Amino acid sequence: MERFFRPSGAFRCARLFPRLTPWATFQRPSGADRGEGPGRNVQTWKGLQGRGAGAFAWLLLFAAAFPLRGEIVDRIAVSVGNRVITASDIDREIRVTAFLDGRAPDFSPAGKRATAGRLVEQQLIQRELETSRYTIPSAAEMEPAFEKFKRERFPNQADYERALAAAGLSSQDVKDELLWARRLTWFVNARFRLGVQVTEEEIRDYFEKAVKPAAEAAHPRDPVTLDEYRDKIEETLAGPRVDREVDAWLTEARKRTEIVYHVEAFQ
Amino acid sequence: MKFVRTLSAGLSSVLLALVATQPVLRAQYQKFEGKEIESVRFDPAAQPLDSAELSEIVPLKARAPLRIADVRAAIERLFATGRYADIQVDAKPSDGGVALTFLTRNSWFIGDVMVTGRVSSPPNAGQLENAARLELGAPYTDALLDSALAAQRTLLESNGLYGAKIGSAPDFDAGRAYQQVNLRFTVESGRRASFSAPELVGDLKMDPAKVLAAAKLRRWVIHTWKPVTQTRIRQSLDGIRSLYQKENRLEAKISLESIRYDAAANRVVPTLRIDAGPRIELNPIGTKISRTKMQRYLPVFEEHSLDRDLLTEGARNLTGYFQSRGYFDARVQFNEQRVVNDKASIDFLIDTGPRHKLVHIGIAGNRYFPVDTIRERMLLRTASFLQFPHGRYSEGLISQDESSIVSLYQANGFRDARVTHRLEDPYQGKEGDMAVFLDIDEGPQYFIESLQVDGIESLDKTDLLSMLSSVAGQPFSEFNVAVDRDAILARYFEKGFPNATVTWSSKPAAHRHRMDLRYAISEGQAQLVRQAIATGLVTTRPSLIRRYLTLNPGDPISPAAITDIQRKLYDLGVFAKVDAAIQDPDGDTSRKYVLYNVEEARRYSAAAGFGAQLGKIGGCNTCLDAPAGVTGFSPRVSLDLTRSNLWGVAHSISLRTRASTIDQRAILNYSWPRFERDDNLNLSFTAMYEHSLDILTFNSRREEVSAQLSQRFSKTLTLFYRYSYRLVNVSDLKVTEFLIGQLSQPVRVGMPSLNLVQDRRDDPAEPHKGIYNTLDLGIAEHMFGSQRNYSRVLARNSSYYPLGKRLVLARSTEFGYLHAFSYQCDPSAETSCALNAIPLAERFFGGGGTSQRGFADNQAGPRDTGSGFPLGGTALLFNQTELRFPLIGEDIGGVLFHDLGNVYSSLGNISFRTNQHGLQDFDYMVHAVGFGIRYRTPIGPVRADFAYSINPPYFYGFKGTQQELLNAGLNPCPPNVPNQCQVQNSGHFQFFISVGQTF
Repeated sequence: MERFFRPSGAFRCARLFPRLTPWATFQRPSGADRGEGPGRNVQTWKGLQGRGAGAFAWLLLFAAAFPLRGEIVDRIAVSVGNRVITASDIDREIRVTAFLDGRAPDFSPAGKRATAGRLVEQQLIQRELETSRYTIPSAAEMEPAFEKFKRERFPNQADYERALAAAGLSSQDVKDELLWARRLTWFVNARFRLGVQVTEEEIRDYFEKAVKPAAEAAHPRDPVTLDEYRDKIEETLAGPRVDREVDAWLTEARKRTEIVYHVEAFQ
Repeated sequence: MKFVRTLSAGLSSVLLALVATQPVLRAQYQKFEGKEIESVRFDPAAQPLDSAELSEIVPLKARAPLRIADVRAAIERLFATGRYADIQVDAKPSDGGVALTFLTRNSWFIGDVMVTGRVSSPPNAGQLENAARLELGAPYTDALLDSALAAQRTLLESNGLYGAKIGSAPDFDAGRAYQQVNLRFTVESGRRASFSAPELVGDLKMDPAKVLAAAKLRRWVIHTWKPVTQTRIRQSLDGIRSLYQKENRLEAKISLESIRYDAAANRVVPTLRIDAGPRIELNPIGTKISRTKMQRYLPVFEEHSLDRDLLTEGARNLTGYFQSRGYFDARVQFNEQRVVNDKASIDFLIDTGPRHKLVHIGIAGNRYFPVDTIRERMLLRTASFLQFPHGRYSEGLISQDESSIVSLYQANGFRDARVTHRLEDPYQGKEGDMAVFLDIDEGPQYFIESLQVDGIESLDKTDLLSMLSSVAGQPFSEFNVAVDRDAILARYFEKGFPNATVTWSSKPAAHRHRMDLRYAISEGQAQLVRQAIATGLVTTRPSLIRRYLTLNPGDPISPAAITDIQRKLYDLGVFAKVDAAIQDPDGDTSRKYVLYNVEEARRYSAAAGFGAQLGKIGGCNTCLDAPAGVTGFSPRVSLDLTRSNLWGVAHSISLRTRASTIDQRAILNYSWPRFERDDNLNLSFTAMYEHSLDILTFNSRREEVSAQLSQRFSKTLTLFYRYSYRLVNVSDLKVTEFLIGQLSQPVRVGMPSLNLVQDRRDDPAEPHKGIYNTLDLGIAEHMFGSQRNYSRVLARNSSYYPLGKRLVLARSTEFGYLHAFSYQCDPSAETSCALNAIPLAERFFGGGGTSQRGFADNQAGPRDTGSGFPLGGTALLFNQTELRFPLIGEDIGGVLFHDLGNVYSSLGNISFRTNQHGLQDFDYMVHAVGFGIRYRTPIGPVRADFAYSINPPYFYGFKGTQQELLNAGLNPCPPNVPNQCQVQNSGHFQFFISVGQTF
């Protein structure tokens, strides 16, 4: 019967993550303060392409003239208001989500952009959590969940630590990710779920049209009652509405916030 | 084109290859983790933050192991300051360790926004600047510039300027530490499009031609289409709306659906959507009420909408209207009827009930507050003549009064206070009279047992605690706590803690009705001034404003100080706009730039005006038949030209001219404010020409130059030092022959003078309390270039006393004395000789709307014994007393006044006697009483005064021509000899209309 229902809570967070945020502005340094003199300090990648061969030639000279340095160990990848998501944040997020999902990390530019989009949404929600002064779940509350994750996924501590090392992560990275997932679930419930109403009529209608026929087909001899399925139906009907509310809120939050993507960080 | 594409592709490949050779973020960036940091550098070396701040923000130190988490934290913190647009961290192996370089790119912040070019108003340059929504000090991005351009284009197009060209040029203020970019927009408005016949869509229910006429999109008479402006579109919609409203289509919806632009014809075709809706009749049933009043009180007319909420509000408004007229039991309900045949009606069922008069308000149970204290907070009013003929009462008002009284008690610790009321109707058996009795149950008063204040770390705790009102032993109330919280926050803001917060909690103390109170203060981070920057100066010298920028680096950022500087800059009088802002207020840095961006005012300004004077100012110039004046009308025009901010140092030169049938005047003034860099000193030089006929006796011409230095000692006390040199001529004298030769001589007067003004009135335009004193001392003497020697004293003292809440008693006394000295004279005629030693036009003339209302303007004092025309005097004494009171509503007031006094021939002849001793005696006290009306306006009260002079002077007037008067000799009116003299008086009734209180 579970096939009729989508899980609540964490999966809704998961639904938030895979979406690629519309790219606001890809930014290249103009070098206004590196000897080019005053000029517009932000250029879009699209705008740069549109300027033809001349612009490319200048960039070529600029790139060639740029002294070879060591290695860029970190940089701003996206700025969200007065906060930043660094390239190392994206790298770590890719690794930790892959580790938790049990798949290989995707460091492709597209994978980085998708991850950056999720991190932008995290930042927007994080700001809301801080400014609204919610009493959010604490790190201590996550310990049982963390232990459960380890028990279920790894036969012993040594295997777990080997896997962590292979992924280039620390235990704290995993704990932080689990804690964030918990906080996100909590935020969605506290901020949006309570405002979404499902009427008795809608529940009955869904029961009659979807649940009852399927249940009777699966178990022809068993009686099917509404009370048995009421909570799950309510959650099913509320889920998409909550998602719409979250989407609308995120759209507004993006409009209110200056979000700048630094294209070099995604190469 | 193809070549370009190929070249681009080729270059792109090379570029990518080159970029690939650059260091890139690698997955194994952790390889530097734990290595020793050899050095930490910044590139470029010139950073927007100084090295101390960088050291504080960046947790990476030489000789310490490198943690990538610290690198990330450093980037986050640096970016959070707002001073950077991009940050990268480069690591290079060095001597077994790692050398770190922060590669930074600065951000920019919005500075001056200016629109220039050929801007056809509307919209004007200021509106285009505002439309850009580029806030001073906010972070600048290209996206902001794009949206500013889009907003400006929308504004231009909505005003028919479809062909407008907008250019933008961000002007990066390179080389300055404050990272500011000024935005210059160049606008060429182009030709404004005109309207063409609008398309009407929807359900009109009316002849389209009638609708188009109401839209008024064509010019009057010539019927060509008007140019497009936002205002015209709005007025068109309003015009159509009014048309439908007149047809009782109250639900008519009129909107501009779209505008189509025809570029070829440069015309726009507006599409107007009209949904007429049904005719709706609003019928008052139960009593009569005019349609005008229905429109005033029913919001459906204003909102152009009809729903239950608006109808309910309308019924409530009507109830209030009837209650205000004494129908305290009035009830208004409404019935809606369905639409049938495009018609519907709404009946307002009005039951006024009997008319009442609120004659008594009783207050009982109050022990802590006296009745007067409670009454002054109440809206209920007992009946009073004119202002509230039936009193002021309604259920809503009594409910508000109960809340006000409860709030008053609660604010003083009576947390359980309750107020109830009962009505007595009829009161004392008289039908229609009504009384309200308020019963107050004060309950116990709560006091503070102890106060605990936590969290004060940066400010002086003793000083802060001394400001608090909720301290141990004081009444406990949430109101006082809120006052304390505001006071604490204000002090913190003043000291540069914009994020300070105060929370409070209380709990019952050990003793009954006692509370323990606790304030918890979170100070937040202090914000200090990095530097105060002024931009936007074009012709103004920076030295002029530098001394006003008193915020120095390291000072706390105080909103009060910022605003104070902004006000001082504005008060210089050379700026049309002074914007003040903190640069990037959200940036997480403790030191901020404080920005002042000014817009200089136009250097040339002109003002023209017209007006008129009505009063006893008439009479022909050459006739002798009206020495007391006749009612006359004098139109007046004025033109002022000013050149401001001369030399960029706020000096100004102005020419003020005024011309009327009785006065022509031109004044050229050079003003030097803040003389010697002292805010309290102002120097001015003035040249004046005046030709005046305001005194009926003569025409005067005055040519004067003067220099004046004013010194302000305090907010209320100012001293003026003045030297004036003038040539005074009189002509067309209407006096007996023997005086003409003496008085008609031109006279030069050189006079230094000292003028003191003390103004402690609460409101100069309409004072209720305080005093106003002036003292003017001057001396004309040969050594100052004067041909006549005399001194002058003129003093005035006015005071104002509130009588209760609504009455004001105002009084004013004026005394003046002219003392002639060192003159040649026959000792037997000392008095007249002293009088005649002073030039005629320099003497005291009095009477009129601002001195003695028993006389017309300049009609008081000695007169020529032959012609009866005023001659002026050497002493004056006036006293005015007024009782000012509200009359009708809040804006119309009344005045009862008594004026006494006169202008006297000499100081010794000042007399308080009220009888005139003969027709040649003018040295007595004239009394006048009267009544005035004041109508409050934004520029001060408009006043009309009607005075009755109890004992006006009688005198001989000469019935004849000037030549006949001259022929009549030295004594044209000898007693017991037939002559042309006729006894006249200055008139018992006078009236004055003016602006401003009398004194």
